[in-house]
Parts: sequence; C-alpha cells; structure tokens
Amino acid sequence: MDAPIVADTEEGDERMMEVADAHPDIEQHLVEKTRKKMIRHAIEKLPEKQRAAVLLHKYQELDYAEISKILKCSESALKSLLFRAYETLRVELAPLVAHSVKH
Amino acid sequence: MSCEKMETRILAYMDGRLKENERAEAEKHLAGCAACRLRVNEFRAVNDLLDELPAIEPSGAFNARVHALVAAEPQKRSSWLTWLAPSPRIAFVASMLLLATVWVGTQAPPPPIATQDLPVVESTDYDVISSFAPLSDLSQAPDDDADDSDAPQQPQQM
Repeated sequence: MDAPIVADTEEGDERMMEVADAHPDIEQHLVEKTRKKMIRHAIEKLPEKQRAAVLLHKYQELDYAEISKILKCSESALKSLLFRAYETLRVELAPLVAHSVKH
Repeated sequence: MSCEKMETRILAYMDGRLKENERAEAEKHLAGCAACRLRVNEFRAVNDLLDELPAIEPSGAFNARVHALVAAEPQKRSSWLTWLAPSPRIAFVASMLLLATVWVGTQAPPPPIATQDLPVVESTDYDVISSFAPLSDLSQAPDDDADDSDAPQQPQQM
C-alpha cells in the first residue's frame, strides 16, 4: 500500500519541477529574443552607408582600407561614418548599453 | 589631444589598430576625460551587443549590393586575366602541353650520342671493307651482299 503512494508523490514532484523549470527558460528566451530584435532593429534603422560600414567592420572583419574601397570613401570619412553609426546605436540601445556599462 | 580628435580615433583605439604613439595619446586623453572614458565604455557595450548577433544575416538586398560593389571593383584587373586564361581547364591543358614539349626536348639528346658513335663504326666498316675478299669470291656468292662479314666464309663452307 505504501509503495504506490510514494511513487505517486515522486511523479507529482517531477511534474511540478518540470513546470517550475520551464518558466524561467521561456522568460529568458523571450528576453533574449527581444534583445536581439532590438539590436537587429537598431542596425536596420541606420542610414545605409553607416549600416554597410558597421556590417563590413564588425561582421566581415575587413580593415579600414578595404571597407573604404568598397564604400568609395576616404579612410577618415569611414572613421567618422563608423563613429556616427556607433553614436546612433549607443542612443538607440541606451537601455541595454546602460545595463552592461553598470555591470 | 582634444575630444574631437579622440572621436575620430575611438573605434581604431577599441580595435587596437592605433599606432603606438597614437594609442599612448589616446590613453593619456582618456585618463583625464571622464566623458570620453564613458563613451569608450558605451561603445564597447555597443560592440558587445553587436557580438550577440553572431549569425547576423545582412538582408539579401544588402548582400547583393555589397557583392555587386566588390565585383565591380577588380573588373579591370580580372578582364585581362580572363583573356589570358579563359578557364582553368584550358590553362591546365596549355601547361601540360608546355611540360610535354619540355619533356620531349630533354628526351631528344640520345640520337646525337648515336651519331657520335658512328665514326667508330665507319672506321671498323672501313677495315672490314679493306680486308674484303677479292672479287672472285663475290662472284661465287652474289646473293650474300648484305651479310658482309659472312660473305668470305660462306664460299669456304660450300
């Protein structure tokens, strides 16, 4: 008589633990998703040339000479282009930036 | 260094692409300028945020435009290159032909060696001819013209 009852309570505990674990995962997943959406959106909102400069610099890892050749501008123009892009991103992503600067 | 100058160098500073003296200047400025220091920290945070999108897919249109720009850039150079070698296969065949020509060229020498030996043969031939049997023997075996050395012996065996 005792054995089945113990098994039942164990099963019940497992189910409860599963439900309790799932919540933070979903929340974290949603936070991550929102975060990435914000970053993506901020990049997409940049003026085209600034966006191109950021993508080539950050994700293609090209050097300044190569990027300025592709974008047909001088290296100093590229540097100010990147600076303005980062300034815009800094403002657009202010909540996320403030959060990570504090930590 | 002024804050304006720092602005133009801030990304190169973050990338570690400043020259040694420029980096020293930037660090000196940052040590005394809280505003620029904050900006560097915030730009680093932006950089980290951009890192969160490792698999960022630039839109197809953007990709196409960049590829078009890149493709347009070295066209002058590639045009004569493509004329020179229209396809790797043709280039390969051409180089194989060249190799074959060189190989044949290096294989050619053996014939000259043979002709160098010839004078020796000629001199022995001369000896053979000089020790030839008299005309009377030849008339007995007119069919054995080709076999010079056997010619004098055959009549004796007969």
